[in-house]
Amino acid sequence: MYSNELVRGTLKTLVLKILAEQPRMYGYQLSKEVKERTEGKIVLTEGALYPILHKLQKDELVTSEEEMVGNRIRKYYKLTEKGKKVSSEKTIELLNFMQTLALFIKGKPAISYASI
Amino acid sequence: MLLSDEQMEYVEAMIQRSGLKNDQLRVDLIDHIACEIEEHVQEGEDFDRAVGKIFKAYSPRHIRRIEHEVEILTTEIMQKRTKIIGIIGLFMTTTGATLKLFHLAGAYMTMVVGVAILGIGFFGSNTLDMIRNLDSVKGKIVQVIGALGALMTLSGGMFKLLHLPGALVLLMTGPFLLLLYFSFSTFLRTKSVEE
Repeated sequence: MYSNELVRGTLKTLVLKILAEQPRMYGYQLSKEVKERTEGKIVLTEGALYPILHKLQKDELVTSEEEMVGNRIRKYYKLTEKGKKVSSEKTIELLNFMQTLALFIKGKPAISYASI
Repeated sequence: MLLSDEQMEYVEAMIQRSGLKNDQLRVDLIDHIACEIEEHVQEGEDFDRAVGKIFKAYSPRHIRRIEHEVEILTTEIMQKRTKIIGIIGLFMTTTGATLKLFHLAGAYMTMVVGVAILGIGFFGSNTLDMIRNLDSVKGKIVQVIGALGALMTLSGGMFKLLHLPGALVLLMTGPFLLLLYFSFSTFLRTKSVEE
């Protein structure tokens, strides 16, 4: 598992990226998805996830809709049009950053855009 | 398998005891925790054991920390309000000191009100905020020491300017408390919400 310090700046982008791939998602589903896709190396705890989601909602990048699931309310989050644009910008920015880091460390870019 | 009504009531009551005020966050957390419990139950664990395990992690303080983090990220009102109170307090204190310097009327009252605003509105509210979000008793004591130190130093200066008794004691004790505050806070580690 990567340290909080290393992961902190990328969580918002990861949330935006995952939401861009699905019509809507609820909090627990999002945290599971991040854990599974990163093979447990990045854990999106509830302590980090909900502040991010509420901030994204405040910035009008996501909206939420409530639905009854059995005997409880489930809140689904989905990207707004503005959110979709920011998601793709942030993803490209993160990729560029990763390439720069790889270039710095190894001397060659690690990721090709064609594979994304 | 979804939790029963009775089990959900228990989960809601456990979250309620944390004093969580943010309704939107409450909806999120109830569903999140219920999902975690359901996952444990599906893996064969009984409800009571799963609840015990999960609420060990979701302590009332942890839930309040999440709420505080949401509050910080989504509202600037509180921080702005504290800053405005600080500006008013400092403005009145410096105005009072200037009036005193030029022997003009109103110096005493302006300074006393200014220091009171700084003490209660600025240091007080900041300290309460810090206390609410710290786990250790040591950390809370350190915050109180810091606020008292700042307030006593400020009051000491005011007492000295206004020739009130006790100025020297305040000016000796205040900076000493601030010294303790800075020494302790340098070596005490506080937990972040993400840990």
